[in-house]
Amino acid sequence: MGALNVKLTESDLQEISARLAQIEVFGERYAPDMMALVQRA
Amino acid sequence: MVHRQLGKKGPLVFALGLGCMGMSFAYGPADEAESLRVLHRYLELGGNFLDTAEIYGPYTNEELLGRFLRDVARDSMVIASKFGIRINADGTRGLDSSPANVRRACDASLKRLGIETIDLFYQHRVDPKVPIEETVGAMAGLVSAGKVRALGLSEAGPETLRRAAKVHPIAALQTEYSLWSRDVETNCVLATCRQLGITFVPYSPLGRGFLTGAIQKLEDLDPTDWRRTNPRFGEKALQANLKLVETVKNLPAGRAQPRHSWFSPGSLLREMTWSPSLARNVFTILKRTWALSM
Repeated sequence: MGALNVKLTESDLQEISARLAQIEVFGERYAPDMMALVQRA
Repeated sequence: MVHRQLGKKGPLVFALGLGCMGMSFAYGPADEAESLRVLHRYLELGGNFLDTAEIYGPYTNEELLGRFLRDVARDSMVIASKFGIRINADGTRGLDSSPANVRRACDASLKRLGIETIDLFYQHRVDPKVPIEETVGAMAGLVSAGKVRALGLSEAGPETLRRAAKVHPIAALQTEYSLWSRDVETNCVLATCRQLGITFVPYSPLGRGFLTGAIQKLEDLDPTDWRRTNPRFGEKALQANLKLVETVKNLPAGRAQPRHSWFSPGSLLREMTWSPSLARNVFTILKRTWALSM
């Protein structure tokens, strides 16, 4: 619940985005049969 | 307390919802006593938003919440449930958002939950065989009948959202969103929600527990845990993805809570999703394991 009090500045957010942009995520979020069911237009 | 409104006129919910799926389904053996303790603790701390679905169990998760709801004031909780994944007689599953199934599922969920109205009723997955207008039309009928307060969709794309919203106001869209699942930022889903006044509800904000750092190897998951079949938790992928966990641990620390040397991925995600540059009206759904440490 303490997470609700955390504040991040714009520069924090930029730094977070920059660091995460360097990380590759391996694997889809679901197996193919379940991926077919998500975010349908 | 931090609260958010679901849609333009929907229920007011605590900013951290409690996703109950893992209490009965998918993440290893269920422990009802522990789950009930978590539910009561969540309420005690000011939480009021519980998320379940017909398919969780199937059915047993709604039954669990029904037992919890017997012991608390009904108006102390906002209950969200979902329909649309049919369980066939032979145990196989398929999509079914036909109007008849919408009505059947709602009645059955109400009975299992032991309540008269579901506060937020989601279509769990878009059914390509049934036009969304027909499905939402049936859902709107449930609102008129007093069985449902607000409508939601899950994992729907922008065009489906627009079509659905023309039939009846859509209060919420639930979709996976976390530091390792950020496609809604770029595929117009968040932008469409913002435009239509639909609250975005990110599920699995901690990457199904992975971003907490608690899962370091496949053996950390119970043999029955569904995540073992998830591509990101495969042996090689899991090891490679640990680099992300290390990065998350070393991200900038929150300034409002000096007692924490670093903040949880959940809080990070919350801040990111509430950032004006990304989306407003967003809140996260905690899972059982994190709720215990609240």
